[in-house]
This record gives sequence, C-alpha cells and structure tokens, in this order.
Amino acid sequence: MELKGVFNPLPTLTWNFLDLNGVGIDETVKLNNRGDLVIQDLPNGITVEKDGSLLDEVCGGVGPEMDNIMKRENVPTLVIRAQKGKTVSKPICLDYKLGEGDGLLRKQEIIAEEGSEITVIMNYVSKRTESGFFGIQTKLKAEAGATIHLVKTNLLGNQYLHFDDIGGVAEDDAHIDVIQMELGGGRTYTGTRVDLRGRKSRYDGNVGYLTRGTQLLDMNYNIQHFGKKSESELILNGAMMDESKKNFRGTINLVRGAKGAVGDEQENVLLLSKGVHNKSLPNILCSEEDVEGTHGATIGRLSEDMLFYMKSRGIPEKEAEILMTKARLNSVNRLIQDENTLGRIQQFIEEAF
Amino acid sequence: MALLDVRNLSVGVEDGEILHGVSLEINKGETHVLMGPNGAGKSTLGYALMGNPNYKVTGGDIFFNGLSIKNESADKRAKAGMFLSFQNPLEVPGISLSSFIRNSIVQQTGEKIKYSEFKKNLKEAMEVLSFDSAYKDRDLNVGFSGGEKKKAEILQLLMLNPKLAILDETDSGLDVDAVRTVSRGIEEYQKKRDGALLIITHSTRILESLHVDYTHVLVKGNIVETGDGSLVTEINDHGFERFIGGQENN
Amino acid sequence: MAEIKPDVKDIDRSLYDFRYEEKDFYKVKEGLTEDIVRQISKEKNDPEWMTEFRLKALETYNKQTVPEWGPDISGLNMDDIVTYVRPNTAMKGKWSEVPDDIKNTFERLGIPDAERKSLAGVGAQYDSELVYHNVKEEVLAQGVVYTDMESALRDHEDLVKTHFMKLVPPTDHKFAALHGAVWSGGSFVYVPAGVKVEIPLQSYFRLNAPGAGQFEHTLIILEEGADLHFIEGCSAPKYSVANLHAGCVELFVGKNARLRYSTIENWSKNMYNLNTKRAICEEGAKMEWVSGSFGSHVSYLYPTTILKGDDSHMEFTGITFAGKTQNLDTGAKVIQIGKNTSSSISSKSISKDGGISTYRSSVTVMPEAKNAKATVSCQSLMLDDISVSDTVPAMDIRTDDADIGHEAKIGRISDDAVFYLMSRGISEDEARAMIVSGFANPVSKELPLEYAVEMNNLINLEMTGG
Repeated sequence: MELKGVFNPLPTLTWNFLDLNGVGIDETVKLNNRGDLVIQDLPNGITVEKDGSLLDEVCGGVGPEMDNIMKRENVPTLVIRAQKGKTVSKPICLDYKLGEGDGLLRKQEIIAEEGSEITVIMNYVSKRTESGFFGIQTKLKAEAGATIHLVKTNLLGNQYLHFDDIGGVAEDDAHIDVIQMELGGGRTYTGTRVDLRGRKSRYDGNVGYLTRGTQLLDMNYNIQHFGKKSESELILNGAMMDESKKNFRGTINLVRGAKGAVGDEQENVLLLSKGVHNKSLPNILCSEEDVEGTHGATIGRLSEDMLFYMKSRGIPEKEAEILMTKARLNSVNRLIQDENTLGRIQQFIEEAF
Repeated sequence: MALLDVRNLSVGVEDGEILHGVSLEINKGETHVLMGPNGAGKSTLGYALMGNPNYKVTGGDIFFNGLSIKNESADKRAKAGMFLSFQNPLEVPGISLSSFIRNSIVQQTGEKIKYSEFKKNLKEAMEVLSFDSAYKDRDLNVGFSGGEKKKAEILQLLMLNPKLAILDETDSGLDVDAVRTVSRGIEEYQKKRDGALLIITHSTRILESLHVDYTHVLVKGNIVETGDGSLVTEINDHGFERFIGGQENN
Repeated sequence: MAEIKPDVKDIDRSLYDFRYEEKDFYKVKEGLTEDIVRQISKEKNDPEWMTEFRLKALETYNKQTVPEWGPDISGLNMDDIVTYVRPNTAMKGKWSEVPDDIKNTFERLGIPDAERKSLAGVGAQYDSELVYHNVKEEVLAQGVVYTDMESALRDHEDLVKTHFMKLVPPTDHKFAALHGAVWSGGSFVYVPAGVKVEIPLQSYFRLNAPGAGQFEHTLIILEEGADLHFIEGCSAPKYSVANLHAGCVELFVGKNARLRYSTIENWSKNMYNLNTKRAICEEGAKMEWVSGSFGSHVSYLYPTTILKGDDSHMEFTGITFAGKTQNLDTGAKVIQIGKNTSSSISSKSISKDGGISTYRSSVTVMPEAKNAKATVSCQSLMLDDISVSDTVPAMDIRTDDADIGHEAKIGRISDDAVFYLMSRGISEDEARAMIVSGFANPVSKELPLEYAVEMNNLINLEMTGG
C-alpha cells in the first residue's frame, strides 16, 4: 500500500523551520491483514455491528489522509454501540496481537447513545524487536449525557510503523475520556481531534509516554470548543531516553460562541539522555471573550531539589530517574481500570529498565 | 570517635558565605538542639551536612563515623546512616508513600525485604504517629497538609532507622496536637533505637517531651554558645537577644 | 494603489495622523525592478560591493515566496510600493536647520524636546533618509559612533562590510531579501570596549509619503564590556493606501556587554510592518528587548536572540495591542548554544474591536548547550467577543541538559475586578482601562518614563477613543 501525504497536520500553521506543520510521508507498506482480534464476552447493553460507517463526518487528528487510506483499502468498520441509557462498567477489550512482518489496518466506531456509558480498551501488542505496520482509526460519538472511556495502549515492537487516529464528537453534557499509553512502536504517529459541540461537553486526555532507542513519537491533538461551557483538559506525562524523538502539537480552539468554555493543556517531559530531541507546541486559539485557556509545560531533567530529596533517602541518581519515570507513567496507568492491561503495561515498563 | 564531627565548617551559596567555621561533635545516642533566630544559617547547616549541591563547603570538613563525607553525594551519606527531614518535602505524583519508603530501604541496604515484614513495620510506625493507614497508598506528599507531610518525614525516619537524624524545623506550622504526635515519633527513635539527633528549630515546643543533651546557639553563621538542655529553657524565657547582642559587641 | 481592506474608520490618532504635502521630494517609481535597485544604489553613492549586494538580494527576493503561515498580506502589492523617497534636504546636525515642515513633524512628536531632556543622541529619519543626527559631546568623547548608515558606509566601511546582513542574510526570508535590495537610512552605533553609555540613544522613524516603503537598517556593535540602551520609535500618518516597513536590525553584543533595545511601534493602521530584528550574544553578554507594538495593519515581528557565548542571557518583555483592522503577529525567538545560557520571555497581548493578535515564539536549545534555562510566559486578554487572540509557542529542545518552563493564559477582564473598581466610584470604561494598564504595567515599567507615559497614552487612546 502507498502511504503518501501529510499526516498530523497542525490546525494553524507556523514557522517551517520548526518542522511541526505536519509530517510528510511517502513510503510503501505491506498489508497482510493478519493479526487476530479477540473480543471477549460482550456485556449486556453493548452491541457490535460489522461494516457500518456511520461517523464518516467525524474528523480525526491524523488528518484526512487517514480517511482516504481507510476508504481506498476498503477497511471494514466495527461499530460498537452502547444502548440508550445503559451504563456498562465492564470494559470491552480489543486486543490486537501482531507479529513479525504483519501489516494491518483497522477501523472502529464507538457510539454511546443518549445517557449511556461505555469503556473500550484497545491494546496493540507485539514482541519487543518485531517490525511491521499497524494503522488504526477510532471514531467516537458521545450523544447527549453519554460517556465514552477509551483506553489505548501501544506496546508494539520497536520496528513497528504505527498510525493511531482518533476523532470524536461530544453532544450536550457528553464526556469523552481518552487514556493513551505510548510505550512501544518504532515510529508512532498519533492524532486526536475532538469536537466539543454540545453545551457542557467535556474531553479529558491523559497521555503517558516513554520513548527509547531511536523511537519517534509524533502527536497531534486538536480540541475544538464549540459548545457553551465545554471543558477540556489534556495532560501529558512522559520521559525520553537514548536517541529518541518526540513531537507534541496540542491545539485548543476556543471558538466564538463557546461562552464559558475552559481549556487546559499541560505537558511534563523528563529528559534522561543527552541525545533526546523534544519538540512541544502547545497552541491556544481563541475567538471568544468569555473563556479561559491555559497551557503549561515543564521540560528538562529531574530538578535538583527533587534529586536531592531522593538522594537524602539513599536513592542514587540513576535509580531516582527510573523511579520518577515510573511515577509519571503510573500517574496515567492508575486511571486504567483493567488488571490485564495494567499487568501488561507494568511488565513492559519493568523490561524497559 | 564521634559519630558526627564537624570541623570548622564554612558553607556558601551563590550569593555568599552563610556559615563561617562551625564546629560540632555528636556522639551515638546523643540529642543536640541547634537554635537561633531566623536567617542564622540553621537550615544551611542541615543541607550542608546532608550534601545539598546548592550549598558549597568552602572550608573545614565533615566526618561521619571517622570518614570525611565532604565530597560524598547525598545518597552515599544516606547509605552511611544519615537522614535529613525536610522543611518542605517534595511531592511525587505516581509513587505511593509506602513504595517510596520500600524503595529507599532497598536502595540503602542493597537487599530486598520481605513484604510481610515491611508491612508490619510500616503499620507499627504509622500507629506511633497516629498516621491514618490510608496515607501509605497515597502519592508521596501529594495533597498532604503541612502536618501530614511532617508525619510522613518522621515515618521515613522510623522506617529507615538511620544512625543520625537531622530534623529541620520539623515543628514549624504544626498545631499543638501535631507537635505532640511528631515528638512521639522522635522519642521513639531516640529511646528505642538509640538514635542520635540534631534538631534544628527556632522554637522550643517540640523539645518539651524530649531529653536534650546539648544545645547550640547559631547566630549569623557562628555557634555563639553551647550548653546543656537548660539553655533551651533560657531561650524559651528570654529569646535570643542576649546572643545577638553578644555578637554585635564582638 | 492597493486599498486597505476592510476600510474602517480609525480612532482619533491626530497626534500621529497629521501629515505634510510631499513637495520637491525625490522618489523612485513604484514597484521593484533591477533598474530601480540600480537607481537607488546610484542615488546613494553606494560602493560597488553594496550595489552587487543589492542586486543579489533582489534575485533572492524574486525566488522567495511569501510565508504561508501568519497574517494575510495579499493586500500588499509590491508593484504599488515606492521603495525610495528622499526628502529634499541633506542631513542636519541642528534642529534649526531642518526644513520647517519636517521639523514641525518631529516637534509635534516631541522628539527635540526628548533629546534635550533625556537622550544622549538622536537620529530622525523622514521617509527613506535620516534628516537629523546629533550626539552629545561627552558621548562622542567616549569614542562612541552614532550616525546614519550612509555615513557609516562611507566612514566605517570595513565595520559595515563585516557585519551588514551577516546576522539576517537576505536568504532568511522574502522581506529580508527585499530589505537587502532597497535598504536606505537607519542608524549605526559603535560602542568601544568598556564604554558605558549612561543615557539612551534614540532613533525615530517617520514615514510621510503615501504608498511608500521604509527599509531602514540599524546596525549596533557593542565591544567587550560595553553598555547601551537604544530606543527606536516609529510612526506614520494614515493613508488609504498600503505602506510597507521592512526594516532590519542587527545587534552584535560583545563579551560581557549589555544592550537594551526598546521599541515603541506606532505605525499607522495602513502599514504592513514586516520587520526583522536579530541579536547575537558573545560570552557573558546580555540582550534585553522591550517591545511595544501598537500600530500597523499587519505586523510580523519576532526579535531573535542567538545566545552563542557561554553564560549569555536574554530577556524579552513585550506587549501587543491589536485593535480594529489590525492583525499583529508578534513574539520572540531564542537559540541557546553556549553553556549556562538563560532566556526569559514575557509577553502580553490585548485584542479589541475585532483585532487579531497572535503570540508566536520559539525556544531552541542546541545539543551542545549545557545547563540551559528558559522560561516563557504569555498572557492574553480578550476585551470583546469579536476579536481573536492566538498563542503559538514552540519549544525545540535537543539536549537533556536543559530546564524549560512555559506557561500561558488567555482570558478576559474579570467582572469582579471591574465591579470592585466601580464600587469605588470609577466608571466602567475607566475601570477597564485601569485594569488593562495594570496588565501592561510589567512592560511600561521597563521603559524610560517618557516612553512609559507615551505607552499608557496609547493604551488609554485605544481603550477610550474607539
């Protein structure tokens, strides 16, 4: 398959020298569509349909190229639906187990009907050193008063090329809550766009990441506030090691008319090796007066004060760094309610050190 | 041989020298109190003893168990048996109080401890401090009140069981009940474990229930007087005026 | 002639909006061709290398495209811009010798008065050429050179040749190339090693001719341990046709030297202000920017600092006020290369009456930097719901040996604060103006008193004059 075009486009352009306006890609990947999907027993109140395509108008953060690929390759859509008024606490787990040389495209739509609540966990796993391609697109629609919890964990091999496209819309009082653990993959491009259309709609993004070796993690978040009193909070906690690279683009757009909207993005990056390369671009666009937009970033090594505190308890520098890395990832992990998923993440992190 | 032997220690920060030749000896099991008005350099001494890189030793030396530790990093000093309780302990989201303590013990001793034994010790220590056991699973110092942070520091003292504990203003900002609980923890360390203490304070509340062997008065970076526990009472009654005046007349 | 769109009635800016007929002026034809560039070069008696430089820059200009990011500049048609307008007077050293209408212009702007009171030297540019230049005797005696660029090219050719457009090469972007081709006027300052200039030098730029461009070049060289505060002021009357300002500022801050560069920009609201400012700091040097952007229809302005030397520092304090018909894209850039460098960017922006303000910045820490520190803080105030305020700050960190902090906030004037002031008998308009002045205070307190007063007047004008 031809993989060609601009991915993870920045909603508002800036200086070209920063090389953050989007990622130009032109390469060929092999698809074999192996890799099996296991949906474990479906809880009451959830239905699964095959081959729907109901949320085509919902845009994802990786950009329109991703939609083109899905169309061109005729990727079937798995529609997971929470029925009206049903609150389902048991998570629906989609485990994608990939192997050496696999090439896979997958697409899901998660629809939470009015007043429902659903949790979907997607794990992408392959062995540590395996290579392959995995492109996934997940569209979300939270109808009035509904809540979607989405958990995505990337534990792919360190030679994997990975695209993860998330697009969502939230209606009145709806809530989209996404947790992402980006730990694996060789080159990972992940983009999220959420349109907060409804009054008091809300998006929570919690992202934990660890980049090592020559990994590249490229992220693009685009949160559009249309609804009055809509709220968003995007928090990233990550650590970077070795020669790894990470790009973070975060855009909060407080659109005229979104009175009372509040948007916040925070990024904390722990830099642990000389060779790392970190780019961060936390944008706020604002065309409405009655709003609050904030962003903050702290980027750097472990602070001297923290290091001294750790050392005064007998923890040497290297161990303190590991401890703090785990702590950061943990603060995201603990939001995940699934033991299996957690266990896998813990194991992955333990193996990293 | 003294446990801690501070010889003519001068310490500075970027802005200049704060301690000008301080000498102090602490033996095993002794409790020393370091008092002095604000800005005298008390906390500086605590930081310098523990090896905070922002405080540079510009003269003199520090011996612990007969070995110079002047050039050792803080973690080495902790392994050797020193402990400093912080005035403002740092918050670490993502790591629970109990797993932090366990980590510290493993790092200091270099061996794993049995979880059941650790759990038992932790429970006992928390009981001494009337510390709600739910706190062991909360993130280290995150969202703790001032009193809870101080309790968490003393809890680490009891769990790490050092040879010498330096307590920096452990009573500041605490109400009467909290002071009592914290001193109970210190008493436990002092009596049952025969630990040596250097208590840095500018008030005397925390000392009421503790036996004090020596009191040092630090003014403008110099120890201007050393006495026994009765000096605490005197300062309690008359403040530091006598010492400050004495300095200025020199 | 290019029309400014949308054409909206401006607020009362009579202080700046007066203008005089241009009579007996020499100007080149509109547009930009090799002939025009040669003609400018000939008019200015350029040495041959400068003529070559101009022609090469023109080639670069023709190859470069306009930026696809940032505010729309399609209202700017280079074919309509007159690149060179020379007032019919030679440069004078006494105000009394300056022709009356030009002198009146600067007097109404308060320039001679300010010189008497608080400046070590003044340069005044009218359209394309400096018409007045004077430096206090005692400053001259210290060996300080403060003159117009044309004289510098004649009297200090080597210094100019080794520094001119070395920091901002014409290849940098299209308007740097344009500047290289048609530059004229501007100031040259040289401060010898160890010399501290106690009171500020000021250059004032006034664009009088309609449909003209101003392309002044400012070159400041501070030798080791030198210290200088340079102030730049700009204004122009309002015309219905587009004017262009594509100046270039190059600052060389030597070892342990300190340079403060303050700007109050108040171009009229038909101006396309596409200005490039850049400083390079050697070991232990300190660069301080104070920047107030109030005028212009469109601005692209990001003073850049290269912290090349170890222990060099940069501070940027800026404020931007975008009102009706304005699209102001401002900010700062820093590149940290040396060991123990630090930078601090503090920016405020205000949007009102449909104005668009964009804060854009970048902090780059290179792999060879050690112990680099950077803090960025930007605050934006939205004064109504028809305006726009965007924040686009980038951080590019290529080493772990860095400590970078960033915070930004966009919001409105709190109703509680307005109510509190009103409860003390202050009218709502006044209360809002007071709060905005307070918001701008961190910037105005960095300015010399006269300029702080001018800035506050501008804010009051914007707040109440609409």
